[in-house]
Amino acid sequence: MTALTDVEDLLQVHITRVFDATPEEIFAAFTEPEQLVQWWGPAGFFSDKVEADPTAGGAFSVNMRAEDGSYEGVMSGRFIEIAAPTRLVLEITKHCNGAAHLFDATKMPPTTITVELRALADGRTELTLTQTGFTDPVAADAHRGGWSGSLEKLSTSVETN
Amino acid sequence: MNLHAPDSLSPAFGALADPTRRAILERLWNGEISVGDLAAPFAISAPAVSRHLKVLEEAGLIARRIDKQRRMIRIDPARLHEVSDWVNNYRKFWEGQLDSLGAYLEKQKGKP
Repeated sequence: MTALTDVEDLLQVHITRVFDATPEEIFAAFTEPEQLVQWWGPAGFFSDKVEADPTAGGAFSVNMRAEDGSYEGVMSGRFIEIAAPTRLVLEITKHCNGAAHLFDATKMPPTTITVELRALADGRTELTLTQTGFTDPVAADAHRGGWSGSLEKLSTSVETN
Repeated sequence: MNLHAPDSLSPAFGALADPTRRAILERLWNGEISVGDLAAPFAISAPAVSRHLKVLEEAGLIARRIDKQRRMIRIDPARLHEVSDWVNNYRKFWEGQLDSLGAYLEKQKGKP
């Protein structure tokens, strides 16, 4: 059923990009603190505090500051999987927001960032980044105060009877 | 960047957390159908389907109407688009991040 993809696609981030660099170079840029601090942050933002321990379970924390001083936030979590130079998985437990008054970060469920790197024949590298977890059951509990969880238990018991 | 999720989105994310409810939305993606037709492919009881529909309706993700004797269900696209717009903020964030990464890698190449 292809339509499922349509709904699911709306509920996750999935980006593919080709870089003129090797998987090793990109992997290092994503995992070494001294490199992360040099590029992290979209245009208009920069980072000056980075912690990254690229081992399974290792800490990951990057701040992001607006160049005009209007914003500072921290995105943090841990590395879940490290398979240099082709795959890394990060769990983000604290999300930063574009402006302090906007989203209440305590309500934001953990999301999972997966970066996959594939060497192309021409020497470039295809990077695929996905961010999922926006609709994970954990999120439901956070959002609904556990009510959804008990509803699920209820419907499961109905289904099995 | 605006990564704000209005409170109205919390029930929507909660409703979407269940794979059966996402599968129900998938069935509705192609258009309005009756509750009976909707429930047919699901190996769950009618009361269970009904409960899932209630959650989706309370989250503003579906709308119902009665057509003669038939109970009809359709997606309410506005709410689903709100959810998708919010996820899209993250998409834009990562697009920006990868622009920065590309610029950084380009700069590194110039170095000995």
